[in-house]
Amino acid sequence: MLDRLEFLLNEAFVSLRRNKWITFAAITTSAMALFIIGGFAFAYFGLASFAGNQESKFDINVFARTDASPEQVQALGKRLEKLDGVKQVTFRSKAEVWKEFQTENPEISSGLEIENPMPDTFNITFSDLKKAKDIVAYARKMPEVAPKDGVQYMGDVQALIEQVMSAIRWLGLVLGTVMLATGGILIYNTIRLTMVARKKEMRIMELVGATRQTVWTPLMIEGVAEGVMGALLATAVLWIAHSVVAKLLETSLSVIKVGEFPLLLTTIVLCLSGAVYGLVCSYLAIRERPTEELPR
Amino acid sequence: MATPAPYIQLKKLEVAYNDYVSGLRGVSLDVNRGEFIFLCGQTGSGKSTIIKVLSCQVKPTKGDAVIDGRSLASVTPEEVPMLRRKIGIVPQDFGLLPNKKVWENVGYAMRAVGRSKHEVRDEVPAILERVNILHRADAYPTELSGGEQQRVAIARALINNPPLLLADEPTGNLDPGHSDEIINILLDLNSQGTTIVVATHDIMQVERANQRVIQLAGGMIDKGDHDEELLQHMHEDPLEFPTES
Ligand SMILES: Nc1ncnc2c1ncn2[C@@H]1O[C@H](COP(=O)(O)OP(=O)(O)OP(=O)(O)O)[C@@H](O)[C@H]1O
Ligand SMILES: [Mg+2]
Repeated sequence: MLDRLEFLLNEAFVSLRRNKWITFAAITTSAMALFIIGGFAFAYFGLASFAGNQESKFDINVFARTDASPEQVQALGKRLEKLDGVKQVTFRSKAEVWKEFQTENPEISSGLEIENPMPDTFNITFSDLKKAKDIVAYARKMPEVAPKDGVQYMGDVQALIEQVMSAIRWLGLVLGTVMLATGGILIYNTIRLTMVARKKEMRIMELVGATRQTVWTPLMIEGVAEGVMGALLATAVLWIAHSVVAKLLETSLSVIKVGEFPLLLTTIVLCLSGAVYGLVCSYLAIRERPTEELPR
Repeated sequence: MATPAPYIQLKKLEVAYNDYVSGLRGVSLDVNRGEFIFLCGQTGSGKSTIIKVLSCQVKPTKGDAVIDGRSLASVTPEEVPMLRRKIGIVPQDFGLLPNKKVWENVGYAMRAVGRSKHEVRDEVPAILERVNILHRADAYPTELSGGEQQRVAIARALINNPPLLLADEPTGNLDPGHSDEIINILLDLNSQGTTIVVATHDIMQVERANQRVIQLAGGMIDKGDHDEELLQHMHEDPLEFPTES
């Protein structure tokens, strides 16, 4: 059994070594395909989780008119609380807001003896982000709300993230497919080339009665090996790219924390995909083998 | 008298390579176990085609070929390997792997049919000895004479210990001395019980070997066999050479 495996593996690796360059091309192209797909998947899921974490931060501030009476402000708060999709409404009086501003920005406000310019403020968080737009629109219509910039809304950021995510999805899909096709054609071609290079061996094998598995398996192993090697290369490059991007993001935008690189998961997923891919491509190549002369 | 069924039977065997070229046009022939036959005839007479049919490289278009009771017309691709293990095939071009030594050429074939490294080590010397090439076991094919290469090809055909050996022009490229050597090896194997079918146009060798001869012409049997039916068949169907495409 082990002896058998040794023979088949040996056959496969002999041909991997023999067509060095096309093997190299097949491996690097598959690696690129997997890298692109993997990279875009990372960017996508990274952004998705970022946006997910951000949900609590997607809040709005509603500023009451400065001339609204405390009763009117209170009534506004009640109405906002009842809206569908609202999680919590926190009230901060103009005095509190002003105080906070002063402590946070002492250089601007210290010494100045001016009247409190801050409005009463409601901070609203959402239980359902999709309703945010409706809630914002509703709040804007309230008479107690300041007519100009009465609602501070972060929805634009969210819309941007969504746009970027869909762009990533499409770009990743298109680029990944193109690279996948290229890598696949190259793997297919390596196998075809191997079959040409090993025509003599294959003929001898068939002549002495080797089973079809014996003739085919080394070729399949070759395809799988190319896929897996491509996957390993892609994993390594992804790892490097990930740490570079993480560094960049953390230094330039200190808010964003990029998670650890899931090395094991990535390796497993990419290697499995690479293996399946190599298997399919080599199978297609072998299946199209010109049959021995078979007259009708 | 009750004779046992012949080992090989060709039953009105026809092979058409395409619409215009036929390799065989109705050959009937019985070969008994342990026989040695020569297939003779000019270029294009169908010698190789018979070998190819018997080795399952080509399927009968019409009629049938039977080896040891097994009809080759109905063989599926999955069955071919196991059938081939009962047939030693010596191809016309030797088919040796140039980057492998003599013993590796034989060993590689053994490995391909599932034998272990151990078996290769144990059995290869004996196989090489049978065709008298053991002393060149470590040479590469390019370092061998044509006759020596032919012997290696025969050695490789013996790895499955087949009861039948098919050789296509085994003396084709050899001088008379080496040809004798090869024929002697084949006669020797035949004396040990192997049925042997040799395609050749080397008339001198055929005459010297003094074995059964099947003369082919234009894809049919010409003479040399005393089969009434065949002679009759010939008269019915006068010679007609296939058009070359
Ligand atoms: N693969 C093929 N495709 C088409 N025609 C073929 C093929 N192989 C052989 N033929 C034709 O079939 C006929 C018989 O060929 P075959 O090879 O059996 O002759 P042969 O007796 O072995 O000749 P030679 O002495 O030259 O080896 C010839 O006319 C040949 O041209
Ligand atoms: Mg021939």
